[in-house]
Amino acid sequence: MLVIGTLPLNIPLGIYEDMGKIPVGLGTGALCHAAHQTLKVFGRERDLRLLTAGAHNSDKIYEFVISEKPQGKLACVHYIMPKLAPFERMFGVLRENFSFLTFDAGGMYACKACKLAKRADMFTPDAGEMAFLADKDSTHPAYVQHILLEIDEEEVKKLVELAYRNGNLPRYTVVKGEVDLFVRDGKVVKEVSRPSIPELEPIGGTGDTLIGILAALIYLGFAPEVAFELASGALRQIGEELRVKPDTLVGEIIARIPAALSGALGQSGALPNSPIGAG
Amino acid sequence: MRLFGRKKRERTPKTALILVEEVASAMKVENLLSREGISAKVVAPPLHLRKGCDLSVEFSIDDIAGVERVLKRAHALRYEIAYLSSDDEPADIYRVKHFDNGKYVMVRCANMKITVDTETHKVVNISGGGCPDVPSLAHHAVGKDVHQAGEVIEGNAYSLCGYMLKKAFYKSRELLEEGQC
Repeated sequence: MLVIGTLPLNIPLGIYEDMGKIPVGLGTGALCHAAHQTLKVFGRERDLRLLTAGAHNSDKIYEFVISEKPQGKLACVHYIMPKLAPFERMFGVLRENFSFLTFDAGGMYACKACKLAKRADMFTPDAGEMAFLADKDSTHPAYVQHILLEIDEEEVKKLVELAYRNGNLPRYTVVKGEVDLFVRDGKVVKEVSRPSIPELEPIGGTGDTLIGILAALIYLGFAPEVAFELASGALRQIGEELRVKPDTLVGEIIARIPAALSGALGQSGALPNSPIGAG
Repeated sequence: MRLFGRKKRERTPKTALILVEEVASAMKVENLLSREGISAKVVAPPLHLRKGCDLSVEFSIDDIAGVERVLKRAHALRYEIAYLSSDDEPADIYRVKHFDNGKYVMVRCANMKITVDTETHKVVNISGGGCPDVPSLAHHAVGKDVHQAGEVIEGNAYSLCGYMLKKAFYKSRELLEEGQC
């Protein structure tokens, strides 16, 4: 499993395997630690690789992928400066060398802006970012006024349909929000809304945490729908148990992933039995 | 038989213009931005946007936060930023949400959210976004009072996400100062 994204550190370009040196906060750090904790439940934490560089060095990451052509089963592109020309070249390399590609944050913005969504496997927007994906011309969520409106569940479903019609959604999309939605081929097929924890919204890195769990479970062979239910349920359960507040830091949440996930796996009886990308 | 090959459609990023009053200022702005690694070029502005000088400096809107930071440092420089169409102008409305009986207030601007403690005036969380300066801004601003956090955000935001975070931050500070939280 390869995660690609920048970090808020002065860190040389490279592929890192030791998560001990990676900060836990908002962004690719939270995603990596969440994936690490998830893989740990299955004794597979050594499968995680992070291709990273400092915050100002997105160009180096693009160049590295284009020239070194890394290979694997699943790649997740995350906090990276959405530059369209190098992104298109990087995407081509990743598509050839990975069977499952998932995009979030700057990676998702660039993928949509390059009109490559249909060739990706999964996007993970929040409800507001769905408005950006539904807008056929916008290249960045900052231009979408609609993003500020209260978007209820019905509205999100309409945005999902519109985004899919405009060719801006891949086969799978997970929409993060008060109700988490799993979308397959433009249709909402699963929802998780309980327990409802509104205090998770202001906590920086909770979306990244959800994606870290989700991507790691898909990497392990769980069907994407099953991975979605486990990831969303585990995060909400942690929120409830911790009684999170708007000043809770995401590291406290991530530390509880193994216990929450083990519990959820025990209850659901789910097994990693589908080949990656299937389902 | 097709006589002409189909030209691949170029996807150019959206651009904005820095309007200045003197030619020398346009050159200076281009140099200042280039030195900071921000791609910019001197161009002729459309007639309706001319501001005393026949030159303006074009830059990618993705770099707007970095542009504003660099120009702010050039204290004496008088300039204006112009978007070529209203669709290019970043969102300028806010959503405010209260938690814990008003102890915390979260301000959202576009895809960025900042949450402050209304009693201690500290930034307690930053979330959203997708550009690489956001985790760095969060790393350095969370836990600080709004004045220190403001220095971090104003001094280090360089992307569109960073720019939207800056706007959300200004709004949260305004709410605290007005005692509207």
